[in-house]
Amino acid sequence: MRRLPGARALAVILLTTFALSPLLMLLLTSVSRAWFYPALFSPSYDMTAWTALLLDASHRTALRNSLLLGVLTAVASTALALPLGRAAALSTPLVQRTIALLAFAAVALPPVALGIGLQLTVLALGLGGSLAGVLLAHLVPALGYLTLIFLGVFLRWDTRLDEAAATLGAASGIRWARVALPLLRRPISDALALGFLVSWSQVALTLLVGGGAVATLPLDVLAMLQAGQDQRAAAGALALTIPALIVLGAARVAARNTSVVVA
Amino acid sequence: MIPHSSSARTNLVPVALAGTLLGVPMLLGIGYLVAGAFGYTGNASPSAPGRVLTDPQVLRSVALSLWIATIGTAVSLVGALIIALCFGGNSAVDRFARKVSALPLPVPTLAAAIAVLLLLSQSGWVSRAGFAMQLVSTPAQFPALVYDRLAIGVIVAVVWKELPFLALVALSLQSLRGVALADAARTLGATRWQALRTITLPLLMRGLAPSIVAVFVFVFGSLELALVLAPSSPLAVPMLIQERRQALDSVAHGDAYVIALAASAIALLAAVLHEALRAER
Repeated sequence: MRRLPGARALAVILLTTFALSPLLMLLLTSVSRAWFYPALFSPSYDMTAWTALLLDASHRTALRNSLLLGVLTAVASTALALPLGRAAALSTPLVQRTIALLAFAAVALPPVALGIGLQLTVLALGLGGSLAGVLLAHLVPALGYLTLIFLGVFLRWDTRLDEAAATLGAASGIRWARVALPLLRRPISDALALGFLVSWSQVALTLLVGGGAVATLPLDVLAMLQAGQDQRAAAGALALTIPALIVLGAARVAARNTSVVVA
Repeated sequence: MIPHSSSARTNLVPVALAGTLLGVPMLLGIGYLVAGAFGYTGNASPSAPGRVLTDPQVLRSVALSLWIATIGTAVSLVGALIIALCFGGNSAVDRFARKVSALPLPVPTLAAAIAVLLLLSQSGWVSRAGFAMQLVSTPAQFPALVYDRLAIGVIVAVVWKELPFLALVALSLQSLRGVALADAARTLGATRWQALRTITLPLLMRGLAPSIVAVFVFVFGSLELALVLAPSSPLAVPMLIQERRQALDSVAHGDAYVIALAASAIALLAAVLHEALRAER
């Protein structure tokens, strides 16, 4: 494209405003106090909403449940998707495409529709309204996303290092631990981050399968918004965003610290 | 690259794994929806799919959800293409623009919807800015941009969330394929516009096609956006399913299963299209 310095500068300003203004809005609202129409800015600021979010027992339970679900979903879905992605990459193109289709369908199904079906399944298992039931529900889309990631990784996998190690007499366990795992550090850290985020931001599946008995941060934020507590809802929305930024940042750092990168 | 094998054993393991881990939960979920639609489970009375799917209220809901998904995806796509074409270079400004445009990417949809609500509601920040500039004197004078019939607030939130994703894919495609081929065409005498129209844009669109389908289907099924920003009449499809599901009437429960099945069918069709486009790419 032809470079027009003025137009490009304007485009950068517009882009920056577009990307940052919603986040700034959340930040300003979360620390505002008695900010009524038509005031453009709050007359005073405090941390009441943040303090309540972090110290109120109900919010802490929701935060703890969200963290627990996020970590368990990340670990379980990564542990399941990695062998699935590898096995899929080893199979014929038709099988690969079928598995990719299944994985994308798990992600694409409207969470409300999937949630209703899963709710009845979880109830039949006797896990309705429990953390374990919600975890099972979160695993479905997380597994879909991560299977697609690992299928992509193993389709580009270079087997020559593994073959060289085998030629040198390394047993399969040793090859897995010393050759494959170090090469997989970046995809695994990415998968853990994504698995966490899928669960961390989940609303519909938690609402339906948890049946209101499992409190999580997104449901808490929604309840605060519906109760007209804008400051707390904004603080909660930012609290939902900050770990997402940290987790993705950590995945990038882990990737940078990996000497050999596969994907 | 792992060499693939066509032996029965090599194919059996992934098929069994995928069938168990991915297929069973979805089949159970969809199976229960079918059972619910016919009144066998879920406190539902048998529902007539024909009646539900021709119900004007349901059709208006489907039209609203399709409108949101189509316009939201289209505007995000145009924005993503502009970013890829304007900021695909290596200068500091290009790198800054790319980083800034990616900022909303990890923000959860619920947080994005709340932020847009605080900005665009009739007592939101944009309305207050309008008051400060003496464009409006009461919140009611500010145009309804959330809970509105055109779902402008939902579309803004969709664009804020999905534009960075499409821009990321477009920038990656541009750096992989677009620049070299466009440069070759310019060397052979093509004008800047010809190279853009006949090489760069077709390449980007072909590469972006699966992501476009993905964005469309995610937006179509999003409950958070509808809960926070969408109008109450007609309801977006996820909200309509929820409303019928929570009704006291057992016939409405059956209707919820039928609508959920229809929404699932749209998503599954999109999944088939996504896979076909991905394979073609």
